[in-house]
Formats: sequence, C-alpha cells, structure tokens
Amino acid sequence: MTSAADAEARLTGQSEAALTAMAAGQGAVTARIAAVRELARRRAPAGPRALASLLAEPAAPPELRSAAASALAAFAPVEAEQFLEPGLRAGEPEIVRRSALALGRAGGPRALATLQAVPMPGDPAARRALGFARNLIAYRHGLTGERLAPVSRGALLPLPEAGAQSLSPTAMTAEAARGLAAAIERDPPGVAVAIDGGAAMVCGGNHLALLPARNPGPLTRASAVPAILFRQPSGLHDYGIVLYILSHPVSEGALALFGLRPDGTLTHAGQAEVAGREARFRVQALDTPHSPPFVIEGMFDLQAPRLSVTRAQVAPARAPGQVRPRVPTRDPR
Amino acid sequence: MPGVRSFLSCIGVSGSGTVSVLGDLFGFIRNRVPPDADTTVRAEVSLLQHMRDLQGRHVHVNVIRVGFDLLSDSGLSDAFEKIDYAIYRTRNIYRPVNLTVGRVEHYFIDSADANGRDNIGSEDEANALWEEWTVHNNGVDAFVVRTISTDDFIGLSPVGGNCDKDEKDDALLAGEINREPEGFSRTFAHELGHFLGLPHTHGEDCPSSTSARNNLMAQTRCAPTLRGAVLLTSSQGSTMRGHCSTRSGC
Repeated sequence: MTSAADAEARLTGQSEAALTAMAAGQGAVTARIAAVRELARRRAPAGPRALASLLAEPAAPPELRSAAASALAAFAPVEAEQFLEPGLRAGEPEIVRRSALALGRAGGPRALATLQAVPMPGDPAARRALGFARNLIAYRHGLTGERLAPVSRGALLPLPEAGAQSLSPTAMTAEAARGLAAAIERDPPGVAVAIDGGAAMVCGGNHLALLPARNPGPLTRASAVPAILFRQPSGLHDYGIVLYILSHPVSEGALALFGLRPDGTLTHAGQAEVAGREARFRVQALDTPHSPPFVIEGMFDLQAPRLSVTRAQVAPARAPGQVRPRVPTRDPR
Repeated sequence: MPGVRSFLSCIGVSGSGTVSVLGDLFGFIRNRVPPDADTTVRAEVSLLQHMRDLQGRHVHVNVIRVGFDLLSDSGLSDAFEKIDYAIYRTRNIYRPVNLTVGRVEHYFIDSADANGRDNIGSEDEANALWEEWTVHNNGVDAFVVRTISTDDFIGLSPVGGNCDKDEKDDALLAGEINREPEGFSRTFAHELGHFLGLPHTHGEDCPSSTSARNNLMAQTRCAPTLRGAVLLTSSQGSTMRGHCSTRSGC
C-alpha cells in the first residue's frame, strides 16, 4: 500500500479515463481518493458524473464518498448542485457533512433552497456543516435570509493588558502569491478573492494572508463574504483556508462581522464602519477553545479591492477563565 | 541500575499493585511486543536497553485515538497493533540519536464526541482537533484518527511544538490508522520529529542526495522506502533532545 502523496505523484501523467477508472476501481482507498482529487484539480469534463456515481454508491467506502462530495465543489455550480443533493440525504453523517460543505462553496440560490429543505441532521458536525452551507450561500449571494445571530460583547475575548504579541506584517511576496493561487485552485473557497489586494502577516512560524473578496457587493445594504483568511502553517508548504469573514449590515454604515472556520465553527466576530469607499474593521476571537485572545484591525478599500491591517495582536496563551479544550478518556490500566 | 519501579516512578507511572512491564513501562496498549511489519523479522525489546535509554533524554507521549469505536473488532485489534508498532519503531528510530519515548498513555475520543474530527479533511480540521482536546500532563498529545480524507498530508505537526498546553500548536496529528504499519509508524515518528523541532530536509522538490531522501524528515513521497528512510543526523538529535518536551534522564 502506498501513501496518498505517493499515489498522487503517480497520477500526473494519467489520462482522464484512467483516473475515472482508478476512482471507480477496487484499488486502495487512498489511491482512489487521490484519483478523485486529481479529477477535480483538472476540472475534468467527465469528473462530475464520475464523482456523482461514487457519491451515490452505497457500497463505496464512506471516506471515498466523502472525498467525492468535497471534490464536486470544484465544478460549476449547476453540476455541483445537481450531483451533491443525494449526498445530503445519504444518512451517513460524514457524507452529509462533506456534501453540505461542498454545496455551500459551490451552490447558488437553488442550492440554498435544497439545503433548507433537508431536515437538520442529528449529528452535531453534520448539523453545523448544513447551517454553515446555508449561511455561506446566503451571504455570498447577498440574500437576506440565513443571517447569523448577533454576538454579545461579553463573548469577545479581550486582549490582556500585557504580553500580547504583534503579528509582523510582511509584503505579499511572489512566492506567497503563488502559494495562495495554488491553494485556491486546489481547494476553491467559493468566493473570488484578490490576492494582490491582500495583507500578509507572520504569527510564530505561521504565515497568514487576509484576502479581500474581488466583488464584495454593497456591504451596507446586503450580506456578504468580504474576506477570507488563509494560513501556511510552519512545516507545511501549502496555504489553506482558516477563516471566512461574513458580514451583514446592522445600522446605517455599520456592519456585523463573523469569522467562521471552513467547517462552520464560529470562532471570531467584530464590526466594521463604512465611510465612502472604505470600511474600517475590527475582529476579535470569541470565547472558544480555538483561539487565544486575538484582535485584528484594518481598512478595506471596497473598490480596489484592497485590505490593509493596522493592528494584529495575539495573546501568548488562552486567557484565564476562557473555555478550555476537553480531556479525552483515558484507557484503564 | 535502579529497579523497574524506580523507572516507573521516574516517568510518572504508578508502580503500585500489579505492574506490566510491557504495558506500563514500554507503554504497549496490548501489553505485548507488536509484530514487526516485515514478517521475516522478529520484533524484540530489551528491558535493560530500555532502562538504559531512559537514563538519557526521553519524551512522554499521549496517544489519543479518535473515532476508533467505528472500527470492527478485527479492525480495532489491528489498530492497537499498529499503534504499539509505532511506539516500538519510534524508539528504534530515535535510539541512534540518544533519545527515546518514555511514558506512553493511551486515550480515546469516541466518534459521537469527536465533532467530525475522526475524519480529517483539511489542515484546519487537524488544528481544530487539537484545539478542542488536550491532556493536561507533560506528554506530547499525538492524535491518531480513523481517516484522513485529504491527500494534502498524511500527518501534521507544528515544527517546534508548544509545551504549554494553553497555547496554540501544542499537539500533533500522528496519522490515520487506515495505513499499513510501516507507513503509519514512520509518519508517527516523523510528526513527533517535527514537534521536537525538526523541519523537512527539503522544499517542494524532493532532495537529490540519497542521504537526505533516507532521512526520517524527508516527506513520504520522497522516501525511497518506508522502512529504510528513517535516519537522523546527530545535529537533528541535538535539536530534538533540546526541545522543551524532552525530559532529563532517570
């Protein structure tokens, strides 16, 4: 048996037909998953139907069906909508979760109606994914429904008076831009972003890039997804999405901001004031186990579109009293 | 040389009552030596060797299984064997640079509690897993999940992980249990190597030299063989031994 990375390396010279056969074959699951992802990466014309067959095949390994659902997000909305819907009704929570998340990225208003018609799953992760998919479509398309609940000020973690570290702003290097472009192609976020309008920072060994949406829409009048935060962790060569920033207007010129992880976990919130073509924003970590106290402030030029970060600070550790991680169960001796 | 109970006390294991040398001192979840992945090789451990190793620098590990309750009985048995083999092999890989795995504690998170993290689909989900769970002791939290359903990585760890469990980057994803034992165990040792401060030996392109490709810190895609590409240099050993999570000798 080979690793997934090994399998991927062998796929670059394969034809689309060979990849389709490999995905549907009886080989190792890792190799089949690699073929699924390669079909998506190439946006292979035969990809949607091949992936849809896998997703709809009850006898296929669940992780393969999940991978097929995730891969369908790379294709045109109409295909994704058509082929992902059965995954929402698969019953298996993992497949429902991946199908919902993929549909959230790829789908339009019709997909939103589909998601709204699906009963909320009992599994918490699948339920969260379904909710987030609805949010993401509604906010991306400027729809009024599916608005996130307001976050109280008390849920925001204040930065400690001492010890907070500043994130070092860095230039958006050509290498970083290439890495971000590759990440977007490999794992399309569902929102067109402007890499050249982004702000780059370093936090410990992690490289962060906050990228503005290319067409954020009329923020003061409609819901939107104005920015996405990417991270390249220390030890990895690839960037990945860490936070979707969603916004909706709350009063004249004022926006509520929400930071959600790609799986739909709400971890950050804030607000923005819009004046002319500029929005001045502030986002903070919420009281969850996911982030120590963190604040980021800056300016968003809505027409350019371009983001600049004027302040980004993080506490070195979780705050006293902050929600802590859970403790796994220990095996008895 | 001090006795077994003295070593148990040193690594923080209670030596009261009945003690299993293979379970409590070596940390094997099945209380026996795992079989070698190469069926022509007999896996062996030496109590004397292990006690000598513990007199040098060592690192405690918490192995946290995620979603294994969904495995079949035979699948679970295989999974335990792979985890024990990973511990066994990591000790053998680290021994040439005078480092060993000390105490091993075993934990589990059932699928229903895992928040979907038993199937990791992205780097962000791996991060979320170790943000949501932690063991409050001086061991490195090494999560082993049922499935990694992305081919972007087969394990994940910060380079130079954090020893303060209230900070970020305080754990690692040691791999998915679906893989075969040789690959899984190499990834386990590789990710723990990252946590202890070792970067890869190469960038996006695989290294050209044989020695670099045979290094433990070459990515799997660059390794000539999963069994042989486990070498560490003395400099890498020095880095690992200097990490805040390694303990002084017993």
